[in-house]
Amino acid sequence: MIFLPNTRNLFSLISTIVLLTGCSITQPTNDKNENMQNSNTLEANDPSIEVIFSQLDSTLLLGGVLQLNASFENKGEHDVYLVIGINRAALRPDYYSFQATFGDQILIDPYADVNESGGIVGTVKIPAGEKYEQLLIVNEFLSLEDLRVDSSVDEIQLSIHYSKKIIFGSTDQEALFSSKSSVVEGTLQCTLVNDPDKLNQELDSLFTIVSEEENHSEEYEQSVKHFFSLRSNLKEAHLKQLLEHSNPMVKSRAEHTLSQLDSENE
Amino acid sequence: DQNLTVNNVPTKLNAFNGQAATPAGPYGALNALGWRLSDPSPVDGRPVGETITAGGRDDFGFTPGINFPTGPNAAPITGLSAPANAWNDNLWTSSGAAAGPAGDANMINVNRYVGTGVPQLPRVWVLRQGFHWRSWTGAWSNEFDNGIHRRSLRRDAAQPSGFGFRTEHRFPLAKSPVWNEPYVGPPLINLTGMTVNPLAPLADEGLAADGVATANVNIATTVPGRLVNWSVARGTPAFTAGAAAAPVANAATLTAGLSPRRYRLSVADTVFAHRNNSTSFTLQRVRLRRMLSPTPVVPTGTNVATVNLEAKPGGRVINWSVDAAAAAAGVTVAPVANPVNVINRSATVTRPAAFTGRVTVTASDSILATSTNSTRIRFR
Repeated sequence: MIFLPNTRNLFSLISTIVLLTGCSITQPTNDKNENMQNSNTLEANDPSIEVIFSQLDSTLLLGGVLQLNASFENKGEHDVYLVIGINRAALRPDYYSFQATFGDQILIDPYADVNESGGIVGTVKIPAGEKYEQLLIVNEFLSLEDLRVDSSVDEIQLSIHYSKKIIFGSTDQEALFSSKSSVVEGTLQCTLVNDPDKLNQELDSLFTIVSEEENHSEEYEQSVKHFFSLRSNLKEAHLKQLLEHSNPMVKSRAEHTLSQLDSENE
Repeated sequence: DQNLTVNNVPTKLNAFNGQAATPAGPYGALNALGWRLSDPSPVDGRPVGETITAGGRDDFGFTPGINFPTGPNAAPITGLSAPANAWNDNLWTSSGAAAGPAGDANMINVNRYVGTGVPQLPRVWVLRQGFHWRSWTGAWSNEFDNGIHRRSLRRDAAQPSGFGFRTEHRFPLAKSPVWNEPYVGPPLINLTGMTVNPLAPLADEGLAADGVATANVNIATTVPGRLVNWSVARGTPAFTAGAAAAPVANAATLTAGLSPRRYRLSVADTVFAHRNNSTSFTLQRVRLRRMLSPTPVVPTGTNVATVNLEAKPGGRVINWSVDAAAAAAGVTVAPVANPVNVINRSATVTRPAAFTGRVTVTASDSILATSTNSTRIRFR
C-alpha cells in the first residue's frame, strides 16, 4: 500500500450516475434528508466493487478546500486488491480525473500540461465485505481558484464530473501486473458558500499550522497540501513568510506558488 | 530470556522483482523493487521515501516540471513514499499528443530529432532517484542508495515506425530489464517525390523560360493535413500562389523566370522546417528549331505548301509571316491547329496562282519575340 490519508465521516450529496460499458449501475443512495451521494457498482463477474464518491465536509467554502471521499466497498465473496498510485508530476493520487462546470465556466486541470514522470504504485487489499476509502482534494485536480462568481451571491451550485480508472486483481501481483481495469464516472452537485470572512479564517488557520517548524506528521503534510492547493487564493504575505521555512518542501512550494502568482499578474 | 524484535531497514536496492507496462499507458514500465536489508528478518512495511532530482541529461526539458507543485524533490516526503515491501515504481513518461498543435508541441516527437541541423536521436532523460527509510519516530534516514531512471527516444529497427521508447531503471546492485515500446507519437513527416507539371500553357517538355508560363508543383507526404512552405533557392522563377503555409495536398503555383537553367525548389513543413525536400529542375529555353517544308520546291500547279517547326518546350503560340515582297504579291501564311502541349507547329503557305519565286517564311514566339526561325520555299 501507499501511505494515503484514509477514512472520514461522510456527508454526501446527490449526483447523477454514469457508468461505462461492462459495469452495472446501482441507483444513487439517498439519505433521509438533503444529503445524498453518488454510487457506482463495478461488477466484473466477481469481484463486485461498489464505488461511492461523496462530499466530505458539511459546508464547502467558495475559494476553500474541497474534499471528496472515494469509497471502494468489496461486495463480492473474495478479497480484492486495488491498485493505487501517487503521481509525481502533480503530487496527487493517480487514476482520477475531474471536470467542473458553473454556468458557462469550465474549470480545468491545473496540471494538464505537466510532463508525467510516473510515481509510486501499490495495492490495497480489500477483504470481502470491507471497504477502502481515499481522500481527494479536488483543488489538486481542478482550478477552483479560477471560479468567477458575483460577490453578492450567497452560494453557488458547482457540478463536478469525476472519472476513476479502477485497476484490480485477486492478488497483489495480479492487480499490479495484469492490469484488469474499468472506469466509473459520475457527477456530483456541490453547494459552495460564499463567505469571505470564513474563508479568511480558514486561510489564517491553515497558515498557522503550515508555519509550524519541525512538524513531520502526516497531519501536518495534509495541512500543507490543503494550504497550497488553494494556489492564487493564498495571501502573498503568508507565502513570503514561508520562504524562510525550515521544511524544504514548504519552502519550495511557497517559492513556486509565488512565482506562479507573479506570472499571472504580469 | 526475552525476544528482541529487530525492525530491519533497507540498505540497498538489490533486485527488481517484477515488471509490467505502466498502468497509465505509454510509455514506461512498472517495476517492483527489492531491497538488501540490514537484518535477516523479512522485509516489512518500513516506509521508504524517494528523492527525484536532475540526473545529468534532460534532452526533453522535462526535469524542471517534475513534481510540478514543488519542483524536483531533494528531500523525501511522506506523500512520495511507500512501504519497503510494496514499493512499485511507476516509470511513466507520458507519450503526449500524437497530432495537431499539441502533437507539434510534444517534446517526444521524432520530427524534432530527425533531419539536418537538429539534435539527433537518441534523446535521453535521466532522473536521479535516491532512497531514504523512515524511522518509526518519523525522521528520515540519510540517503542509503541512489540510481537513475533513464528514458529515451531512439531509433529501433524492430518497431514498425523505426522508432521506439526505452525505459531503464539502474542502481549499482540491480538493473531492471530494459523496457522497449513502440513509438506512438506524431509520425515522421517525409516529403518525397516532388513533381513540376506545366499548367499554363500545357507543355510536353517542361516549363518555358518565358517569364509568364506557370506550373503546378506537388509533393507527396507521409502525414497528410500539414502545412508547408515552398521556395526557390535563387533566381527569377517564383512561387506565385499556394506557397506560404499551404496545405501539403495542394499544388503550389510556380511562375517561370527568363533565365533557362537549373533551379532548386524546396518545400518544408511549417513547424519542423528540417522536415523538407528539395529537387532541381530546369527552366526550358524557348527554341524554335527544325523549321522545314517537306516541299521546299513547289511545282507548278501546286499553290499550297506546308512548313513545320519544333517549338520547344511545347505549348508555344507562334506568329507566322512571309517576307514583305511575297506578302505584297498576295502570298499568305496560316497556322495549322496543333494540340497545345506538343512541340510540333505547322503552317500552310498559299500563293496566288500566278506567283512564282522565293518566299521566306518566318516563325516567331508570341511571347519571346526574339525567338525566331525561318525557311525558304520556292514556288515554280
